Amino acid sequence: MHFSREEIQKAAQDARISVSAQQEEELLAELKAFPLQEDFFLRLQKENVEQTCYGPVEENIMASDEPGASLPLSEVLQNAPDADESCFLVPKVVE
Amino acid sequence: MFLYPVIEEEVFAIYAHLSARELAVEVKKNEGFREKMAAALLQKCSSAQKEYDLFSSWYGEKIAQKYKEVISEKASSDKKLLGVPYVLDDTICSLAFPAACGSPMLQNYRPPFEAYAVSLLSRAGAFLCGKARVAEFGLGCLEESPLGAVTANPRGKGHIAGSGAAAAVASGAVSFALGVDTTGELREAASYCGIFALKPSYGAISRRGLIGFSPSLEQAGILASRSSDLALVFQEIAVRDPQDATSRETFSFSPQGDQAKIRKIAVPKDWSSVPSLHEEVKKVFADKLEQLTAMGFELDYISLPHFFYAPAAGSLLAAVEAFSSLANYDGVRFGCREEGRHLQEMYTKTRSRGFGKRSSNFIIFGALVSSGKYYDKYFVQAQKLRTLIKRELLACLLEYDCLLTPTVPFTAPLLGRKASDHGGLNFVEASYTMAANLAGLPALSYPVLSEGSLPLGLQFIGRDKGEADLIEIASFLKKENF
Amino acid sequence: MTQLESVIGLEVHVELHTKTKLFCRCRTDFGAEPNTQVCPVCLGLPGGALPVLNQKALAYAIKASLALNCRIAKEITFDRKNYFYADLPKGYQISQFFQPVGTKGYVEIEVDGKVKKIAIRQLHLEEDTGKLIHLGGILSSPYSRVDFNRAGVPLIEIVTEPDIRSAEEARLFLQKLRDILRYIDISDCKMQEGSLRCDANVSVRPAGSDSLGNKTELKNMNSFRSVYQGIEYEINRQRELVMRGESVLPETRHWDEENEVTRAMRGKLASADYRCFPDPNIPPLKVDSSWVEQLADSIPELPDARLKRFVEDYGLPLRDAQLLTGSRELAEFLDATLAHYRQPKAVSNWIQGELLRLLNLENMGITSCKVKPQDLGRLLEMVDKGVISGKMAKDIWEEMFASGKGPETIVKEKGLVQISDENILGQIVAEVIQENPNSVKDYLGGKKKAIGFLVGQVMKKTKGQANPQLVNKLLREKLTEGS
Ligand SMILES: [Zn+2]
Repeated sequence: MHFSREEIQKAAQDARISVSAQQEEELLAELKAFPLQEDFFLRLQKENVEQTCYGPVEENIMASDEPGASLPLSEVLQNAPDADESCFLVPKVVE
Repeated sequence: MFLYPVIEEEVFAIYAHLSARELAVEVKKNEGFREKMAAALLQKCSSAQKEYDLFSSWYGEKIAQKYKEVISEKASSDKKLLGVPYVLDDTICSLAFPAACGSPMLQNYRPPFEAYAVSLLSRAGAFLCGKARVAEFGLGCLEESPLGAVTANPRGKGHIAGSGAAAAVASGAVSFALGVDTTGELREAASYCGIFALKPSYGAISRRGLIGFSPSLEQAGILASRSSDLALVFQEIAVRDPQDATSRETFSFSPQGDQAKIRKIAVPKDWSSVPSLHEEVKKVFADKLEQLTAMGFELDYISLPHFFYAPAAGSLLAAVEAFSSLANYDGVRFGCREEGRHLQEMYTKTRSRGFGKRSSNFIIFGALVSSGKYYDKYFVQAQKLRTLIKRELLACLLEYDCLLTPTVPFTAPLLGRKASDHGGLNFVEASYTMAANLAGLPALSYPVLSEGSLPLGLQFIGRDKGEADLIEIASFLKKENF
Repeated sequence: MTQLESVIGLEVHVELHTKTKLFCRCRTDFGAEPNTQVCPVCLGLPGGALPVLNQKALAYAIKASLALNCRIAKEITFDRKNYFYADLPKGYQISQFFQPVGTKGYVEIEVDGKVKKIAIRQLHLEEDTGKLIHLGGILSSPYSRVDFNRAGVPLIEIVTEPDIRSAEEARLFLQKLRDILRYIDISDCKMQEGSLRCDANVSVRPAGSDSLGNKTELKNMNSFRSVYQGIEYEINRQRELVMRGESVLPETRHWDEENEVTRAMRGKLASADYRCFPDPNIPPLKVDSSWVEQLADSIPELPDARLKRFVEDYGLPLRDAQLLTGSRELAEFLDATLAHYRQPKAVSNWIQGELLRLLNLENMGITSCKVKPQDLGRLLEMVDKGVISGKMAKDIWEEMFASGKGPETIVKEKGLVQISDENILGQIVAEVIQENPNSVKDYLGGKKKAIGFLVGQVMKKTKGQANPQLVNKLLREKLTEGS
């Protein structure tokens, strides 16, 4: 598979991960060595086959609108990197 | 560090030769046995941890005390797994231990809830010894880890185990383990360590409490040294969970001892053209095929043109799901955080530091092939390929009772090798395993052990909900010293 | 220069008033302490985010789709919309992209006396996000606090085709939509409280053209008035740009209520790549057709049909009918009252006058009104039959409103029955004539108004229970007799 460096950087940015020049090289090499290449996918594009997006499923599972237990506040915040007495704290949202 | 207690050999062996069923019976009726069992567990787990570095977190020297406490609470009622020790992949949530999932992102993370399967095991009386090491988020086998530790193989000095859980079972420290199989990890580690693995049909065991990355592929499964233990544990945890919409109706499961119903076995005719297939595996597998024929099984070599595209299709689909499923690691509610001047910078710094290299490459791969320009070209086509692979397998299993392949094209790799040495996005170790995940079919890895060489595995892929058939043939073959 | 026309499409979010969230069983109570209505699912904790659809929310979405004339999907799916933001716990929002609940519907509005159809492209279910609390304003705040109580609360999003041509049409559409959704009782639809939110896509183009100009997405309009003003402002802003030969930037703009202008939001220019794909955690759901039929049967008569019936069957003036059908409960109160007492205009007057007066006075909604419709019917009937006077009816009504008792009970308890017995009244009238010779003299002397005083005296003696018409008649007779 062939992608441009810009495309890799854009994808990494969309995933909120920064990519060093070296990692970019490695990724390009791995993509190039990927066992299925563009022509294979182009052939598939012409085939009329439905997509599979799920594991095997049988019937509807839904829930009734009956309240259940929520977590106690102490457990909600127990793993938070930054929080005050009741809320999670995040740095300012505007750049 | 603490000093390992010296324990007499007969005490040491006290549970190594008992099946889970026998062990539970002993624990129930014999209070003296419980004492010895607790001591033996401490000894066994301590030495296994020291030898193989398999736990990410466990009770340590408190384990004997903990064992006695937990069992005395439960001993009064009738429990099928009473006192049977087990471990969990670190990617399965329990209240007793943190879930670091092999990632700097989740170091010290304590889940405020436990997996449904863990609740069921606890109800059945099983004793959780600790959490076992996994590759970061359970993506592939444990060959390298951003946290450093890589578990060694109890049956192959200097080789990897594939997962802490497989080492725990193979070393005899625990009777069974519960792990996650997304691309074949559970079966692969079983193959490396010479034990049984059962990856059930998709939806058979609840996924609630599994910290995964690919919801449509992942499934909890069981590792054990005995096929009968697979059956016993499966029976306890294959229960529909109303809080998992992909969980399926509890189905009847009653393996009939060691009489195999399976007669007609299909083998992909191109099984030996996998590029990474090692000579040794090739030779053993060919021998085993001959043996099976000699035993009276009907073997056919059939054409499965899409089967070997499964690793690539699975890799691509899992990557897209991982891009999305791992987006909750954002430094807000849990996990590590790197401060930034504003929100989006905090995200990028946190995620760049928190994810190891293989995970971050995988996530970026997923973001690439699902981006606007490539969504239809790659992602949609891989979903179509999944349909073709699934159809092909289902058609094959209409005619045959199961499909047989090697589990992994090679034996346990050497410690110190990096996953990228054999392709980070290209799951060569999943050459035979990935198809069952794409189709959601049950698969069992059967251990082949021989003196002087590394273990390897044979993979039986069965029909949807055909777990009993797979366990029966495994028991039959074991009885026949196959 | 050719005429420019505006092209407007709306995206309306409506919060469903279910007890629990869309995919977990956390409560949705408004105003709870921050982060007390959250769980591993709606917090997106590792290993915890397994969504199970709230069946009631789906039922509400189907009812809304039916009421908006949409086609109902036979199978629905849920999809992940992927983006990073502090109020979004999982890094994706579960929404419906590929197989929404409803498609291809419409709402009718009346523009300049003509009916116009506004097409609905789709209606789908999705989760709400959490809430950011900025300390000291979004721009200056060094950090924000995050409350996830709202995260996962069920919303329906209704997307119209760009069929709307003016701010007034947008307002009419939105009001009609709100009336319909209130009728089917799936949401409070309060814009001020955020249970009804409206974004608008606005563009302008030469009249009659098929092409679409660059559109802006307009947000933060928190009342019907601001929807009107915001769109109106935006249309004019774009018109002026185009007239000057400048181009409209495709951007997201914020309605600034205080200064009555729209402003571009920073960093919102680039169109995001959401990579929507089916959520593997939620398998496709079959929508049972008999269930849809059941839901269709539960839908009450909608405002348009009811308005027509009130005018045609009840003969009510259009203005009365519009006022009464504006609220499902008022309209149902009217229907229920008329089932016992078929005088539409009288009942309509009473509801608009007495009922609304007391409701407003007590700051109450009709749903908490204690009076039963049949009791109002009987009260009005008692007036017609002369059992009580109109004045007495009003006093009894206040007591009915306060206590919920029936009119007969109150009449009995207070001994309020009107005295219409000529013998009894005749004696009292005679007494009054004897006691007020001056007034009698005035009356006989030609001051006909003096009779009012005498009537008043009779009423006083009977504690208001005398039938006033009868008192008048008897007084006149007695006075003329005596002269
Ligand atoms: Zn929740």
